[in-house]
Amino acid sequence: MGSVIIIGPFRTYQILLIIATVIVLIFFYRRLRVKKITPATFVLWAIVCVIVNFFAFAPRFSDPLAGFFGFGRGLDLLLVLGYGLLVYAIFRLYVKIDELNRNTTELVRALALKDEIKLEDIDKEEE
Amino acid sequence: MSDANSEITKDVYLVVPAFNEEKTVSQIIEGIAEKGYNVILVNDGSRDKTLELAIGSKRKYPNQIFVVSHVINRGLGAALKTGMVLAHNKGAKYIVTFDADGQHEIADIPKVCKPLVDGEADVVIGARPFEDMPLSKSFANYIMNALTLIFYGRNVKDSQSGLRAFTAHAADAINIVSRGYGVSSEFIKEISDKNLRLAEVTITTIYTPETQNKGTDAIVGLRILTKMVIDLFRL
Repeated sequence: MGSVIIIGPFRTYQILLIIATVIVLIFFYRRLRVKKITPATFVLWAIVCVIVNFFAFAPRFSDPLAGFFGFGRGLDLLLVLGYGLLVYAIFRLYVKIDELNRNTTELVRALALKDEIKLEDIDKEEE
Repeated sequence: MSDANSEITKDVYLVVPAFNEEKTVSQIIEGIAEKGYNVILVNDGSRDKTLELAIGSKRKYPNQIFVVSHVINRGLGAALKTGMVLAHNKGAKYIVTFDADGQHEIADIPKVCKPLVDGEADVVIGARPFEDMPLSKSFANYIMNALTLIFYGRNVKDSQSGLRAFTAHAADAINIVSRGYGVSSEFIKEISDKNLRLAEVTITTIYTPETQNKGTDAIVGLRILTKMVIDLFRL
């Protein structure tokens, strides 16, 4: 226990990160090809992948940055950043769901008002 | 009914939101129509026979009962807004919201309309006496009154009452976005924000097993509190 697994020149988490990066980039590239995302979004995700990989393979470069923000280690900064991003993602999701709910209600209301129940229509349907 | 009274009742539209209220809906809307008022029944995606029964009632009072139906359940607030929009489109002078579960007395309708007709108020809330409520309900309602005062700066006797009356102008000014039970507090917020004149009259509440299962309890109260906090951040 406690020993670090090293495969060739890489540590396990670095190999897992490469696999995850490839999957993420393929996923976004396919969405780009079917025009579900813009080229700008694809480039943004590619930059995020490059930055994360850079710090994963050269962790000592993250220490000065962490020190600038008052953290002892690069990993601490990464965890706090990840936590912040998750909170932001939840907030964005909440806003989106709220918006979807409102739109659905507006649609349901418009349908209800357009199709106010008329006895003549019901009688015609029954005939 | 006197002519003067029937002149008033034809201008009054009762908005009755209903979700799975097959036990009471016919009795409520026919009872209201029998008194000469117009009724807008909003079926909020009920899965029971509420809609069929409402249509049956409409056959008895075709010129007074109007039925609209949400294809899926959207909540009390959404159903109230749909009914109020329709009432406005039909030229209502006064709009009254009335629960379909049988907790309100039809005899209280003139009471809540009177301050509007007399020009003394733009909105009237029918306040239920808390001492008549079961303890858990009255406690939750006291808390909701306190929260309504803290968040919206308005001290009202019963912030969660379902029996409310509006002039057409007030109903038009009020913008409701809450879908669920939070709508009651939102009405108070809108009354404050739009500087509408508010009156409160004491009403009777009928407690049955059905009415006890609905309305404000601790869980609903917590949901409303969450919504109030979120609303603080809404532009």
